[in-house]
Amino acid sequence: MNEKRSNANDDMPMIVGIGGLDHAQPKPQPVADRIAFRVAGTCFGIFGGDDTPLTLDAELRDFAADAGECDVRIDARWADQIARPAGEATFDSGGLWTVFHEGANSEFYFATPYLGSAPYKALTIDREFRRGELLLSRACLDASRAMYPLEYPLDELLMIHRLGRGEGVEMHAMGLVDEAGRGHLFLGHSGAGKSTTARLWQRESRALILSDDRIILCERDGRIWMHGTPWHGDAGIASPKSAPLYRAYLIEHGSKTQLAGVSKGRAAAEFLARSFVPHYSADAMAFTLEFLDRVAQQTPCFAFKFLPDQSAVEAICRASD
Amino acid sequence: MSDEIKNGELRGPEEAPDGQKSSRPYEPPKVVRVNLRPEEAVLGHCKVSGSAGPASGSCTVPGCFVPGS
Repeated sequence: MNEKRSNANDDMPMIVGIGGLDHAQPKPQPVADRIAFRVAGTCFGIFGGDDTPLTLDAELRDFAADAGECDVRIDARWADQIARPAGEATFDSGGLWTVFHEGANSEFYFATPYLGSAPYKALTIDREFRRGELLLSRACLDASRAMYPLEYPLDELLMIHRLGRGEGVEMHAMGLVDEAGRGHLFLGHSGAGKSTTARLWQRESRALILSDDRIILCERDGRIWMHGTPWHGDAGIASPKSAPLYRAYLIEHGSKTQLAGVSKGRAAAEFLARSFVPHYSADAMAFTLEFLDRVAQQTPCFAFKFLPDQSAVEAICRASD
Repeated sequence: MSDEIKNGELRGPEEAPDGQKSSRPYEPPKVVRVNLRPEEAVLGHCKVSGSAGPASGSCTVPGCFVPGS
């Protein structure tokens, strides 16, 4: 681990959320030597130093936080090149990342065929996921540009590992808050209709959409809460707000719009199939199974087949009255 | 599980301990199959053609500017 640390209490350049997402005409992003964002109550701080200018992705602007308050601190620095360990991996995602366990730390290596077989970045972090060092490969990445070094999937990986310690579960879901402040969770794999559903509800002034692709569930005072995340889907909707969970829907496109009740046992299993969990961690899986069972026990769940029109919105409103 | 073994017989939740019938009939446990998408669940891939990761607006990996990745 790098012993050269920045002082987390130093004043940081102000990074201000400046509105909704606009991928068509991206605005210039503030550049700083440290950046931070907060999702579902957990603050992630990234510290770069003089040779590593940092910037938040547009998706994260509304989630910007003070780096002096971070729960997870990542120090980023450049390395000429990065080599993977020779030993056996603890888990290989089959895609961008592989994790090894070395002593008290976890080591994540990121590689893509676009850049060859060598990792383009590597994170070493303690098992509590509080403090880590991120190496960025000069051989693979452009060191002259300000960057957001936790780009997908690293920021989400950090989140799900934190949650798996007993804090909650990230779900593959769109979430909205109705005018009564009740949270509705629409769960689905890719292509099930989460972004389509979000666009239908965008026309409703009485609804607030938290995300069209990723929602985090946590328990607070005996209730399940749903939190928006910056990790949006095709509709590009991301909000840092939250609401108590009221109902859950397993969504899929259908030839007509219809709601049908789902048993609690089936609901728990379907929730698990639409969650993001560190599958290689027995402790994280044990917690997740128990947590999702609690969610299913507390939350009415429905199978929701829908047409992509106003009937889908009306069906949910009628069932909620 | 509310089932219990009494006198060598499996007794379900339809029968209360005092022998009175409850309103819900016993339903044996059933195996439920659910569809998994492992390539999505492990956050292993960027979003391409409606699968895997979220639709992030930026990617800093040179040569890897897949739309929606």
